Amino acid sequence: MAEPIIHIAHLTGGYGDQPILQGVSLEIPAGRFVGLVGPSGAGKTSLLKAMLGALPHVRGEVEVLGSRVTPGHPPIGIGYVPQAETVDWTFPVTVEQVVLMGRIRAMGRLPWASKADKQAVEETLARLGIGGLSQRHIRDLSGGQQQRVFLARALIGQPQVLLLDEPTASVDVKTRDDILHLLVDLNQQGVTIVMSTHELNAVAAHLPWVACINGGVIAQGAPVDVFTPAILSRTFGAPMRVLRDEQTGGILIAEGHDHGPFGDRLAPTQAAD
Amino acid sequence: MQYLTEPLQYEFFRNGLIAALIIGALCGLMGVYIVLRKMSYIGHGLSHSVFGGAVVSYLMGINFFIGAGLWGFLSALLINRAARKRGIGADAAIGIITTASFALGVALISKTRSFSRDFESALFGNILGVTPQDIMVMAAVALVVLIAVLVFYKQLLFSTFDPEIAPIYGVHSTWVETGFALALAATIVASLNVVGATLIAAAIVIPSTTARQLTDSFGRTMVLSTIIGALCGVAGMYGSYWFDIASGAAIVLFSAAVFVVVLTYASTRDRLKRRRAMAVPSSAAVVTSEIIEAPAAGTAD
Repeated sequence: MAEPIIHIAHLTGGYGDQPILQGVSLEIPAGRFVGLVGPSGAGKTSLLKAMLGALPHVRGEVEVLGSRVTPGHPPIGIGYVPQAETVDWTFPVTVEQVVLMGRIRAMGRLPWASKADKQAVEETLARLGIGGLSQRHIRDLSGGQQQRVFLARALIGQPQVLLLDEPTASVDVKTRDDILHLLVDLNQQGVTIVMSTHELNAVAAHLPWVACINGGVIAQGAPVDVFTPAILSRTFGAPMRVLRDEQTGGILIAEGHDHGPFGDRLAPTQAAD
Repeated sequence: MQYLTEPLQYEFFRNGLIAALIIGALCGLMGVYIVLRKMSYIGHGLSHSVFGGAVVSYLMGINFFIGAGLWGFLSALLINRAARKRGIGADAAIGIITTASFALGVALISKTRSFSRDFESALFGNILGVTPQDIMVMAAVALVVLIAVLVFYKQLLFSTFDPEIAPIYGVHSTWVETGFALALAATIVASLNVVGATLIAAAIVIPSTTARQLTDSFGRTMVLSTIIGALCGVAGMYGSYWFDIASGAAIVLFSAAVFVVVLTYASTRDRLKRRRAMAVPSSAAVVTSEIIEAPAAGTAD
């Protein structure tokens, strides 16, 4: 295994008295693309925040890019895309202003952006397929374009590690696939990516590595090895089925119940003789 | 023209006009951050808090600007700290800290009945009593705040837009928040004599909310809000002179009138824009009808 770029050992932490993460140990080598999956409240966002130095209460070891990460001391060389629902879409900012935030360390003292700053924004936007939108207000973009703007903010500083919190939530299937392909391309260019998501089938189809989280790491490995009914049921606390495609070897995750709560009503009615 | 020149023959009006111009611009500038941080009532709360500080500084024989300013700064820091605690929102933090401070001022006044100083001006403003020394203090505060806003423009923008994420990208949020609290307290103390504690929230909130209706750019919102605040200060002063009403109230009423006009304009503009976007060209309508008819033709075969 390559040298770990993210090293987490015996991490316990959260926001208040009750820790969300308990005894988490995880090593992510450089160049890997990891999906964090687990139910809501399992600690996926908390784990990402621990890597960013943004989790207030932390015990244990967190090292990113060789630097010890503690609350309030984020590592340098890392990009972060937050959940879209945390963004104030009415805030008066243009796409360019948002993307420039990711370059704040490299910008000068003057309040306005230099020619080089603006060029860097345009290049990053063009790389993500949204060139020419720099002067638009963030509210006036589609869901996929909005996600790409925040991805551009994370990428403009040329990070070695990219952390994304549910980047494919609330977007349609086509946009989700476009975003995932974009991330795969970035990963192939050498960026280590850790992404939290609820999209199990997308993870199974696109990602080479997955970690199941629920307070701690339940299992990790290639999706085809980790996504078993036993591990998924343990992670999500609900029965899950894994269907295998004999031809492609791919897998599809489905709910374990034969029917949902309204199953009897959904069953086809018998035609009267 | 006489409407503009006649009041200028009086020194008290000239002083008041300059003070209203400076404070209007300063409140307009700071107001953008306050409104976007969803802390609109911090101006109202802090001005009451500063009132408590003013009474304490009077009793201790400390200069008003220093005593009240320090009190306001500590209150703003406490509000920031309390607002981040789980279970206490910014609105509750403002409510608790500032009313407690105001109550302390009232309690001290009622306990010490030998007050010679009139605190009414701190509550309702006394712009016509502004001295050249007061103007110097206001100008100094406005200049320092303006320089700080320009120097830390990017950091303030980031921490206002995305306070949780800004530190990840290298914004020292503790320093930014402390500096912001200091600038806010200085603005409130400098503004007390002009609009008074009871009307200060309006002077802070209205210009920035008005500017927000006119642009989607952060930089332009700041410039417009500063200009609107300054112009409303000047227009309010003239209104106060010609209609013989309290100057603080005149400034706020004029600002509110400008807000209503701008809001009406922005609503009409947005409605027209939506109507234009929704308008279906006649050729598109023909295509749609063809598409709808196509399956029907197929089933008929």
